[in-house]
Amino acid sequence: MDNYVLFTPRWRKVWADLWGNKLRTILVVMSIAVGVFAVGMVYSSYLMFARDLAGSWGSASPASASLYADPFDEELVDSVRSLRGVKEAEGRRNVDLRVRTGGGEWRQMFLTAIPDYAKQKVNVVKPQSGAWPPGDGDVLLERSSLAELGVTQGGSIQVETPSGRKRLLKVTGVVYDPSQIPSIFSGRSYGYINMDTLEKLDEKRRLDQVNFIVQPWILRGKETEPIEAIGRRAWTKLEQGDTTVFWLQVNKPGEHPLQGAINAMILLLAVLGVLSLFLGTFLLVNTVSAILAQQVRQVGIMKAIGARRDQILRMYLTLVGAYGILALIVAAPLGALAASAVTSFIAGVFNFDSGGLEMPPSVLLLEAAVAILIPLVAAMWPIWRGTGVTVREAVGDFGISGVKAKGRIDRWVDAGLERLKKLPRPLLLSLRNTFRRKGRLALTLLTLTVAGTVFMAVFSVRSSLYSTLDQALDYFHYDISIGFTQSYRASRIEQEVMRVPGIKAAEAWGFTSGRILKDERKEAEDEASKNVFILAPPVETKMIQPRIIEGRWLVKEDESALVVNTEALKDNQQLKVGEPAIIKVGTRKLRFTVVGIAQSTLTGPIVYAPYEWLTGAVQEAGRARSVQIVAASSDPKEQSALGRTLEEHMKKNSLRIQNVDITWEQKQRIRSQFDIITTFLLTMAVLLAVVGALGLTGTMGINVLERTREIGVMRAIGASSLGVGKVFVVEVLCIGLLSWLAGAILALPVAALLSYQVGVLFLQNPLAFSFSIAGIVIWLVLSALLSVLASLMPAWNAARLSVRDVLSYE
Amino acid sequence: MIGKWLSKLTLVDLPEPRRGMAAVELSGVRKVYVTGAGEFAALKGVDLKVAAGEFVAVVGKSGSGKSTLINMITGIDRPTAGEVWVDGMPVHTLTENQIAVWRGRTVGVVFQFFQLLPTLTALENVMLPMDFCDVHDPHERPDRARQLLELVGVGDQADKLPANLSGGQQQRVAIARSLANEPPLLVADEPTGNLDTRTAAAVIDLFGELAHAGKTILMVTHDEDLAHRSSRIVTVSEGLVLPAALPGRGRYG
Repeated sequence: MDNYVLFTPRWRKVWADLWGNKLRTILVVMSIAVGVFAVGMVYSSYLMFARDLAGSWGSASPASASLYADPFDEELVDSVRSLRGVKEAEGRRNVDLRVRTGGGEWRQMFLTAIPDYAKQKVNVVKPQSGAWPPGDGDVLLERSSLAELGVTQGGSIQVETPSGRKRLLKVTGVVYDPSQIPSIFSGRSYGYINMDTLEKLDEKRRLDQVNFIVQPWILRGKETEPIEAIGRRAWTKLEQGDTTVFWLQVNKPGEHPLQGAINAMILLLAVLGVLSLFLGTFLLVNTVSAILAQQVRQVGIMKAIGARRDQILRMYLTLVGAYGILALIVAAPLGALAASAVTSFIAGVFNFDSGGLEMPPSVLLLEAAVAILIPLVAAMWPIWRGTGVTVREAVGDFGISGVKAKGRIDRWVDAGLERLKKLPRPLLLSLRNTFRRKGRLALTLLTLTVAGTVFMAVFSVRSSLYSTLDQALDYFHYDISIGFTQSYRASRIEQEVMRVPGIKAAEAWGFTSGRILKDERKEAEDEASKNVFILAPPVETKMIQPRIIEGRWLVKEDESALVVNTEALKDNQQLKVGEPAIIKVGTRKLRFTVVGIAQSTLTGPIVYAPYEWLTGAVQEAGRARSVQIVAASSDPKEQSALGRTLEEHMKKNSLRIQNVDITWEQKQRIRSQFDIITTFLLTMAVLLAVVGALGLTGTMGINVLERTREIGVMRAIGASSLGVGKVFVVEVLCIGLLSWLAGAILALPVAALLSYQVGVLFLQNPLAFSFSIAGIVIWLVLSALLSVLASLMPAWNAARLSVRDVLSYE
Repeated sequence: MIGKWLSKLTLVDLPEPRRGMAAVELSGVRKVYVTGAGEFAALKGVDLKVAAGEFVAVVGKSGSGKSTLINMITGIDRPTAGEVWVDGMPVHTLTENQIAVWRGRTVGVVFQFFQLLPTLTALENVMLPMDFCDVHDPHERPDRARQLLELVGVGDQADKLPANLSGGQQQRVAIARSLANEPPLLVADEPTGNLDTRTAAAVIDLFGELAHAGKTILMVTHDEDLAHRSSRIVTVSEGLVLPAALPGRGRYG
């Protein structure tokens, strides 16, 4: 330290400013670090995310499309493979059955039989641990299903075949199926077996699914039409082979099935990153201006003894650069850690392999730019202005500067305060102080307002998500739904159901799937179109309550009437109330008239037709494929148990069951998906609140320092410690309240915009917007609390100073 | 790169000083301040000449314009009209930056409130002007600063921060700092205003010795006794310099 050649006095001064005022240094470094951290975290998790998701998913050779049909033989797969434009096709067999979890509950499970594990070409399933391929009577579990099922490798699972027989399968290994929607989203467990095991499950050695990949030259960007066109031809091929195809699922080329949800997360992350950066910059400008305001006299002295402006500029820019480097050192590793935490969290949720921490140079470069360049640019103006002060101004600066009403705002504030004359003097002083330094007030307000706006908007997005959910779930007025593998007489189903104790009501419905055609023409049958589920409840049903947004619900007199939900409408823009709709079910073409449009229920594209008419039209008059049940008890546990009892009862009476859905379990699952987003949103809100609090603490601390002499004068004329402290607390509360007000006003449009975006990305549908009053109240309390906390330390310091300390303060 | 750009932006080139002029020469200097209450003339046409080696005390009542007068000379403030020449340099024509560089080398300024940088030691405060104006070899600076502190009698306080020094000690450090770049002119605004009588007398003695050694010294004071220990008294009243009141001290023309 004694080397004055290398470390000249002026750099010693910079060092002293940096090291000597540790609290201030920590504050500035933290405000920069928050921005750097957020940007680094968002950018590197985005990169890791893009790299890992694409890598993991791409390595599975995901199918362009999949066809589901009644069982067929291997030759049909060959005929699909031979279609022009198809690169690879592979057949599989899916068995949808019930499984007993470790916890003793019965759940839905999807067992997939793959003819040759060694020669997988499409939707490749990879071994993770244990046996490979599965032996006879063994099952390999998908890794995302392990927790869901509550079993481990080496254990066994009990499954129940559709005919009601129970079988024990040994879990000999764990696999990874990148193309499968993870269990947490689908609510199903996945297992993989060989073809021999199929027979043990009372199934024939036949296939029921074809996955195919199209030739790259077929594709036109991200369009699905070319794939759909080939899917249609494959559909026809399969039907020529005398099997009934009931579903064509087309995947967007190069997009993960959950891309929308993933994009929603990335959007939120990006919003967070950009906002923190903004906030950090505001804080920084504020702090740097304050530091310079504090050092006006020192700048003046340095000029008086011969310092040029550029020399002083360089000193302060170096100071800011040093803050930036410190912030980078703090924030870069933290950002990387947070990014890997975020990535592994998302990897867990979306079931892909996280390739681990990577710090590409581009991330470090961006962080360095944010840490050093932005502060320098942000500080340029305050420094330039601060160093422009003349010696006379600087040396004549005597702590308590005169305040005079200058502009319109000042006069306006003064006039406003004039009216409040009855208020106690110290309170008036606080209010006046608040408006004294308008530049700083504006920046502090801006910081807090942005933080508050987003905080409140985030709460609104959360409540919009929940109200969307509630609206959707309000649709379900039944407690249990049972689907059958074939149609039975409706009266028989209802009779059997009612024989089980604990049932309040039961209603048998028609149920089938089909595809909506563009128009009547023969060619339209081969054109691309999506599948829809057709529900045929009795028209006066009380089991569901669809929200009709246009037209009307079905009535008794309806013949070929059709109500379409908004999700079905999205893929079939030609459907309008009063217009015809053509739906191909199996080999039949049914003609409907659209009478109403219903709000989607987050359960896929659905259309509703009158029970009598539809069952007649598909030659199943008086028969049904599903039954909805209302339980006598509203207790979830009892409802689940009732579902189980019903399942066993049906099977005993040789009704073949496809699925049993307990409504509350389904609701629970949808809620937990929403929770992923809302957890994210809340984390974001908390982070912003922290940045806001930091900003406020910094501003108040500096305000007090600046007014040390004024405090001394107040004490000298008899203000108590409490009195002095109160002046500052009231001032900061005033700032907190103002920012809350501004934020609350701004939050409405921001929340609407964010809700719309999150809805479109996450649910492919704008959210039912609901403005959260709770968010506004919480932020009011929080900002008041933060304000007081932020002012406590400076106020305490101020109140502690003695008159002598203060008046001799330089 | 930024540094280069900054230097360019604030380029400093001092004009050649005119030869054969007095140490300080003011002619027709007026200074008008525009305040909220209207215009206020602090100086109303001042002519003043100070020869090299003189120790001048500027006296006058509060508000008479004496501080404004010496601010004109140090370039801390600029005249509304008139000319200010210091050692042949037209101070009234220089830019803020030129003034900073010129002042750093030519004028030592001593303030009433000492104005030491609080975060630097006494020694570092004295070295600071050498650093800014790049005077003396960097290796010699600490020794030179120590010598100056010895000269003003606070050599043993070199490594203390200003907060740990008494008022008198701080003012001595400030004087040592004003001497750092060996300026021919020393300007002090109420240098004893914050000191007790004994310390104040000691500071004035120090000025006397410096004048003896050849420095030109201008000192503002309102203490008549102290003023009488200078070599010449200039009285300022209502913005004008009064004709010399003290006989026998000689007038310079």
